[in-house]
Amino acid sequence: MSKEFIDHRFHITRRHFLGKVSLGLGSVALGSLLIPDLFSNSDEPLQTLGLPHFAPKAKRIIYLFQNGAPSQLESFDYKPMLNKMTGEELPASVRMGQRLTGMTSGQAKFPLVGSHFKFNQYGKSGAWVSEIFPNIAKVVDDICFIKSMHTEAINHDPALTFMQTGAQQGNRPSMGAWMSYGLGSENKNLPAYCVLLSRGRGNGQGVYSKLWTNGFLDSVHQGVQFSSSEERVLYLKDPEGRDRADRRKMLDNLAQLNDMNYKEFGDPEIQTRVQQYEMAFRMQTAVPELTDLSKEPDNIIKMYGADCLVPGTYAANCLLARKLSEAGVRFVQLYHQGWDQHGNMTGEMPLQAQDVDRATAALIMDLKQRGLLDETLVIWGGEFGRTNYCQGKFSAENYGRDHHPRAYTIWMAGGGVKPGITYGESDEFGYNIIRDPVHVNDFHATILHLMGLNHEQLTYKHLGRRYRLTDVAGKLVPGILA
Amino acid sequence: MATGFNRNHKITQEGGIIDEEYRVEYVSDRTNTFGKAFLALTFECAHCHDHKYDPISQKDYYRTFAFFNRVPEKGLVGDISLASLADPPRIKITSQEINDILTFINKKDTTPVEVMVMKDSTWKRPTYVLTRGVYDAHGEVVDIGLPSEILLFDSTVYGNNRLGLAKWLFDKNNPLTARVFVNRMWQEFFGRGLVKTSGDFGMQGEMPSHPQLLDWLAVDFREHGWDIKRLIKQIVTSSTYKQSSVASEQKRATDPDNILLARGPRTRLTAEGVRDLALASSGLLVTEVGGPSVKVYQPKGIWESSTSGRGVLARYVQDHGENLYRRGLYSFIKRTVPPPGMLVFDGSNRDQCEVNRMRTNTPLQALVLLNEPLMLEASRVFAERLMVEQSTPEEKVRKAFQSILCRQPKKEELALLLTYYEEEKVGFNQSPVKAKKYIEAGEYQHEKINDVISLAALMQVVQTIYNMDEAITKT
Amino acid sequence: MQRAIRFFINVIFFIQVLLIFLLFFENRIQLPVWLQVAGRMHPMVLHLPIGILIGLFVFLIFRNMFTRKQFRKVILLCLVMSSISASITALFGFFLSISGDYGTSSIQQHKFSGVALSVISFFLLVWYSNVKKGEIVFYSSMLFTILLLFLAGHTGSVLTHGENFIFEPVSSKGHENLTVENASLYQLAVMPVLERKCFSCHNESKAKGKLIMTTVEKFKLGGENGKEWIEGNPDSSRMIQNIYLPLKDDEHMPPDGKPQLAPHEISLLEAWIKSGADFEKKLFEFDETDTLRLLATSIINSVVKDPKDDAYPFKPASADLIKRINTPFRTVFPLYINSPALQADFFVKEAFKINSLEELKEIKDQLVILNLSKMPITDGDIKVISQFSNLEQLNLNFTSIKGEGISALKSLPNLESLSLSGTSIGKDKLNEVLSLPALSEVFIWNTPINESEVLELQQAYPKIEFIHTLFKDTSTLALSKPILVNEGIIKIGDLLQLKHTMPGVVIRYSIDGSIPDSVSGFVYENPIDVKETVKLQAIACKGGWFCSKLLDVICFVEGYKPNQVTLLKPADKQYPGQGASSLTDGRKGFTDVLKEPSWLGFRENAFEAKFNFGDSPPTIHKIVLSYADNLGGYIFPPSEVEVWGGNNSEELKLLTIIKSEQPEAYRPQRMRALDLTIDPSNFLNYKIVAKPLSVLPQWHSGKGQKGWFFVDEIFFY
Repeated sequence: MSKEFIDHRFHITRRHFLGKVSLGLGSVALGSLLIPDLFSNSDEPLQTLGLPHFAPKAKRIIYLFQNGAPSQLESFDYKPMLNKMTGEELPASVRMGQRLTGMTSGQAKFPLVGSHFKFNQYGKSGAWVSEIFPNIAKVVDDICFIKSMHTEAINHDPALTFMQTGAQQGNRPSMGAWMSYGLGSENKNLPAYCVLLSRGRGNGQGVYSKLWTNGFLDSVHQGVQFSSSEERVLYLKDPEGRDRADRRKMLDNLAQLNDMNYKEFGDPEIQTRVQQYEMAFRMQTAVPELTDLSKEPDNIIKMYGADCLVPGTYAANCLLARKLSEAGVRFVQLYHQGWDQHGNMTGEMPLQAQDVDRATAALIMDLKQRGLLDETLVIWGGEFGRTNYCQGKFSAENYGRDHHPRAYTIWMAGGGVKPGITYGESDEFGYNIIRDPVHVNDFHATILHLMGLNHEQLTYKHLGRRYRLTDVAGKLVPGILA
Repeated sequence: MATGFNRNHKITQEGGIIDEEYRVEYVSDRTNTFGKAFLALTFECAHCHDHKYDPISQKDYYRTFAFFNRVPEKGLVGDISLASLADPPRIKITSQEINDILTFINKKDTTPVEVMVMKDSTWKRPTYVLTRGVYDAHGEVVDIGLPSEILLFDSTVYGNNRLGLAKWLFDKNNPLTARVFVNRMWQEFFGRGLVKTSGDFGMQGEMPSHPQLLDWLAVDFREHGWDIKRLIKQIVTSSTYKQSSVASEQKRATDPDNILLARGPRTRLTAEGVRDLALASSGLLVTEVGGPSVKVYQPKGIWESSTSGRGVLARYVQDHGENLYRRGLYSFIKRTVPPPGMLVFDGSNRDQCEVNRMRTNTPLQALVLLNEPLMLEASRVFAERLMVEQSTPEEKVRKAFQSILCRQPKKEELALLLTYYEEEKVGFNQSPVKAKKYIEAGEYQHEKINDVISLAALMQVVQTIYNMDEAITKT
Repeated sequence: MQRAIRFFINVIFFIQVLLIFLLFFENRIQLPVWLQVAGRMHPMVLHLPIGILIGLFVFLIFRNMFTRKQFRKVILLCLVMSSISASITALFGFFLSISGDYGTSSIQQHKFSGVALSVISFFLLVWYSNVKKGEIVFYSSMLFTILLLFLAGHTGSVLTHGENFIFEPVSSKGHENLTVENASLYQLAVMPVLERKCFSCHNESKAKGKLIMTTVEKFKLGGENGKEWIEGNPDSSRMIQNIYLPLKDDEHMPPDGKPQLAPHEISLLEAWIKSGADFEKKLFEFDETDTLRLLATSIINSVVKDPKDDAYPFKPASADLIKRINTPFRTVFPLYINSPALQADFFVKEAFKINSLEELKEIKDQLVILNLSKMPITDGDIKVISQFSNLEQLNLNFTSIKGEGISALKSLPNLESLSLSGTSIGKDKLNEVLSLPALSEVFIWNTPINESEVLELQQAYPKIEFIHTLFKDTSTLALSKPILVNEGIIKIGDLLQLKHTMPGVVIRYSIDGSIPDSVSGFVYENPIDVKETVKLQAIACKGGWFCSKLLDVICFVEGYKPNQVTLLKPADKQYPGQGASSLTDGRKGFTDVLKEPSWLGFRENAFEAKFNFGDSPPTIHKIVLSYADNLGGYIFPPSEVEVWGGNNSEELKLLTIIKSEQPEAYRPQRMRALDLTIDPSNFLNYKIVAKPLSVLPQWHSGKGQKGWFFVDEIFFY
């Protein structure tokens, strides 16, 4: 009986056995390649997840995602040539038959257009910044500009998804989910990955929950979307008429009931649930203190601007991001909508800039004066750049720019990147990259590296193969590492 | 009309996209869904190259693709301001047709409703093998076909169209269809399929734990006219399913995952199931079948902050009345912002075909069960109903326990809950304002109950029962 | 079969002899070109004997699975194949050894082991095909063959891939002793690259192109074509040129098929040559922004362990201890996998007890980073902290530290970073710890220490970076608007509540249409009691700030509810709402989402609705019409509104007609209210007629067309 039972259990045939053995050996071998300490440290439990692979430069990330793709040519990539050539046709030798979006592919002419806004050099580093970012200009010496980003997608949805998940189509875990999976949470009373949304005054494109999805990873790694209403974390508030003491009592009774149940069924999930209720209770204690911005001193509020007290604004999100990060949240992801200037660049761009400029600079200064900028990586940028030629009706005074994936600018600050430098360069038309290109996969590899993770080792097996954030590509960009 | 299933994939409304790129994306989605849902194969691997493990060549992929590639559709019909709810090809369903033929449809609109359908165009769009899966990298032209390792597709036998595909799928000699389906049903009830990887019957999938059982169920299912109801009956009336899920120390040690099925399953309810449980046990449930989706309670600001602010779905306009109490199945799902409470319970975001949801256990789930308006409302309404009855507190607690957990409380459980009830009464007596606020939960009409203190205390007890692990776990 | 075997034995024997013969006269051989081709096939054919011999060995192990007769045939066949392939391999290998540039010692080992292998496999074949007995001899020879196989294979691999190729990933090759301090940039960064990508062919035992890169002296000499680089000029350097040749080019290095140099490695080599191909200069002797230094740093990070690692003199804490010492409010974790150094973070100040700090004594040696930010730490606790003698980073931001006893921190020789922002420490107290040897940054923003004191400190301690207030903008900003707390329609008995998120703000408001400013309007102190729908306007003011923009909202207040509402003409098919009941259901819509149950839309028909108040009608003096104003969407105020009243529903009389003001230009969409004041009356029935604008004005893009009218709620007061 028992033999039959076991045979049945494993359903072993000889062929199957051989297949399994070889597969088993193969996978052990492969596995040991990927887990460097498998054999070297056998007396300790194997712990590859939850800790960096090597000494991290950054412990936390605040990603200020500028959704819709802000124009690099009106912000940080200064191209005086375009002002000289405004109105002239984009030379074919520059364009080189590049793919255009459906919006401008029908356009007969591609007149170049220079920035309507003036540029000046700032700081010791002498970085060029447009006049519509006066506050960011003050912190350029903390910033590392990457002017040679390039991506593959040409439309928002795939480009955003690519930037956030490393793949153009959805269903892969986002960057924050990977961080949560690889590094866990520093503060066990808060989610490791928080998402904050805001909308500016320009043309917007919407964001999607798939951008902060856990994909095939466990759903604890899902980004927790904060609401833009005053109650920022969903379902966090105790019901009307119930206070913390009442809740405590309820949870104590509940724990007893669950425990009786556990004694009967012996399912470890029951104990886990009890623990989860405890963590929920702790979150309820920890989060309101964090999301209450009214206790911030006056000078901080001035620094971020008065909007930082209005929930759901970019400024409020920046301030909250600082607080969350300070409290050990691994990855705080902001999305600020409204950067899609296909037209009315001169009208919308200053408003968009005004919404983000002060608070962004404030965030950097705020982190710095607390001694946190060293260990917090701040990233600012969109999903692609914008064309150097005008979309729609040409006018030097009011023009639009279409999507441009070939060269765009993002910047980083703090957390192990070299401050006060510019990495990479686009040509004088701001169209192609002429030095040190950085692909989105390279960008991901570098960010993981800064967090102490090897992008090739942080993998998850799903549907029969190992996935990683950088998929099968990605090279570290050493030039920006401090 | 059922072919609408194949059209309800993600559809882009982003202006400026390249039409063909997305049209190919749609067809791929159909192909992948077909592969996963009916054949439990990781078909999508062969989108870019021959499958590395299973006998599906890239050519096979595009042959299958060809079945779905004849729809006269566009990648982009209109951007968000012009978007319609049903892109062509579509059919219009009038009330007349509902009354005459489609009597099973619950159509509430008085105007005709448009539904997307599959339709093969009269001209045959050539299907190319796409090199590396890139939409415009055309390789050789292929005709319809299916992986011959499964079952040879002979178009003279089955027919040269999607009907042929269906016939092939349900051919007596097709080894997969029935097995895949019964396995998925099994998974629904036991939390784990006989083949654990219910979405992958290929080389990388797991071997079945009970192969003969799987085969028997599959054949039985097929020979009884693919009768799903009967299959479910077979499963739930089996002695295996009816076993107790109590796990002895020894059973847990030898078989922690219950692969051998020596005990009954113990699995957490699905996202929809959690909602249904609260509704059904409290008596709130509206049992109406069909009809349009409903917009249930949702936290403020979650929907608005992620839309572009344009289009008919720019704002969340919550429903009221009966619509609030329909089954979870009917909750409105916007792919870009799925209901947050559901995602917390591993609900799907409907991006791609999923055959197996995760069952995680997280603190956010605790928060939903503790504070979500519907959970509070269910506790309140249930407590009110119990208060109206002429019965002792013990009987009330017993009834609540029975309705939510489907069993009578044990002595110590009952004692604990009754003590708690009395304690809460004392607590609320000290601050009746709290009681008054607590019982305001939800929009459902209130019963006239004078003893607010007892009601609030009872509501607290009911809420506690709802939060027991056992409540949301099928035991 | 027998005959075939005999034939093969003969052929093999022939090759064996040839081989031994050639071996003796090696030095005199001139190899024809076509045989060189054969030689180059050695790396290909060599896999055959390896595979077959191992297969043979496996067969022997599983011999019980076969019948004796079958078994013999199989083994015989294997022996033939292994023997013939081994001898051909050896022969080809011999050809290759003559044509290639190999050093002497490894090649000899390989050559002899290879020949020996071919000989012994031949011996096995002969033995097995002729002798039926003597299994022991056979099996032990077989074992020996396998050993020989490994030896030959290994020595061969050393030739192709270089010494230590196999164990390179696990043996760390003594790099541990290299630190940024004692090793040159070449040793730290350039050599590791060459080691990975070049050494396998250019070493002492295998010097392709007569180039040996493994020792500095020989590397400097260059290969058969001379020096490999020209200092300062990477573009003219042979090494770089070869790297950049097309992959298919014979001269391309590393050759096609070998691991190629990564772009950042090429950049490193170029930068190194450009800076003079120096073998001695240390990393820190280069300028901090020097490209070579930057590139090298990143490579060093991946090759050499963090030099700090070796600096940690302590043993790691046990995993159990770390697990035990972790609580939800105190996280303790290694800096990274296998690091002995620990970081401890404290969270949630309510949960903090001084014990929780004292308990860290168990890891006092390992603790290098301690984060106590925002915890209720007082001066008395500094003593505890001072025991964590390996501490490098200490965060005391926003604690209750005043500085008393801070000198205890002097016992922390490794402390590099000290954060005291938001504490009440003064300059004098701070001074007490600034002499710490390792201290390099101190954060003192938001402390009593003022700007001029910071300057003094900075001068006294130039080595330390003092970070004080970074934000020095003194311009005045505007406040944000006040916030209306109430949502939706205000119920009878509810009060209007305003608030502002900034403490100390004064809110001024009006509900009569006048515009409040910093001096006029009511000061909001208590919630406002409103009986009817009002237009609320409010601003927030505070000293040092500009007043906020105006909050301007209509607050709809619940009124008398009619018993029955009837629509006399249906709403437009597209916007039917929920019929008449939408008007009094107490739910407001949004002006940007019109296709929902709150809204009734009219274009062709005028809006005409009848309201019945049953038997005991209230006294009504005002009716408020709530409508949408969305000009871009063709939704305008009604052109004219009539109110009718009477007790008999068939004989109503006109109570008032109001022509609403029409806009002159586009304006932002919003909800509006139209007040319809009537003489107080208590009729049973009222009828309201509102006509959509029949012709859109000239300035509108839809000029001449009909306008829309959207209503969501009607209030009776």
